[in-house]
Amino acid sequence: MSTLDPAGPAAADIATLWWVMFWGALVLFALVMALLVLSFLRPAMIASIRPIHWIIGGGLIMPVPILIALLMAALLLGEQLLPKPGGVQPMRVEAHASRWQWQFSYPETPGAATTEILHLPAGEPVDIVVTAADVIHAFWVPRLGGKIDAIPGHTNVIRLQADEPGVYRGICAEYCGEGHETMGFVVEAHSPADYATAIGGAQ
Amino acid sequence: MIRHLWPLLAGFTLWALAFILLYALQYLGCYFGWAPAAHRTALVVGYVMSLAALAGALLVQLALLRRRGSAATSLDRIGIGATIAALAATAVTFGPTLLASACI
Ligand SMILES: [Cu+2]
Repeated sequence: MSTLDPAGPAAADIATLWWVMFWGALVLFALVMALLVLSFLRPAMIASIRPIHWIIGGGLIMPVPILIALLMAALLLGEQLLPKPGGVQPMRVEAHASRWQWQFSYPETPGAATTEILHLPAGEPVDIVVTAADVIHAFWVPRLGGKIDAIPGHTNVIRLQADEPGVYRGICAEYCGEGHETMGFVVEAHSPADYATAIGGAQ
Repeated sequence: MIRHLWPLLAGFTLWALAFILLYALQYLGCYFGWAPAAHRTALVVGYVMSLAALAGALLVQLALLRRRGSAATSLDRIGIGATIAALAATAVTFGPTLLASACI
């Protein structure tokens, strides 16, 4: 269930962003540690740096480019995750949260419904329409991407894709009461033929 | 109190107002389904207005500093720094309203 083991394009983008932030943070940590070590080994050298240079160097020149680069990376990767209108519209499935379980229905197959198992076709994007009955929940399948809030009275859409058939665990990612931690579900991604069978069995 | 502290508060108060303005424009445009070009124009106008308001505050503070001459307090000078920071923060943090997707 690790976000660093992505199984689809949305999760891969998020994992890329995570690694960018990880290596960026590591470089900054190493820099701070080097300065700390220098302050013990070469105190005269550190003392020769004037306070205004610490403020301008450490407070502006170092963080501003890094934060702007991270902001741009997050925006560019984030844009790719959005279920934008226009173009080919992917298949839609509905995920409805209530205390404390997930119900899934499949508008393209009237009558098909599942509880705690979400069937998806593998290898194609799917728009998941997320709603809630009572309180705020959140839909999260770490290996596929996400997460997105399930809000009463509001409809949220998240576009996910499982590249390969397989089983991916999902959880409610917003604390929603005493049954919260049991509010898990499973995504079963099928090849096209298996998907038809699985959905047929859910009718 | 506010009489003395306003140079410190002006910049980031305007930043907060710009935040509310731009967030409201983004939400209302999506809610009422404005045409994408009109919606983007409204956001760009809101962004430019926010920058103009902050630049105006900065000019007022600079003029006041000059008028007070040697009577200017350190609070006046720190307030100018705070307004410059708020101006830069407005330009950077609201920059995405010019390009990022507004509605999905
Ligand atoms: Cu929940």
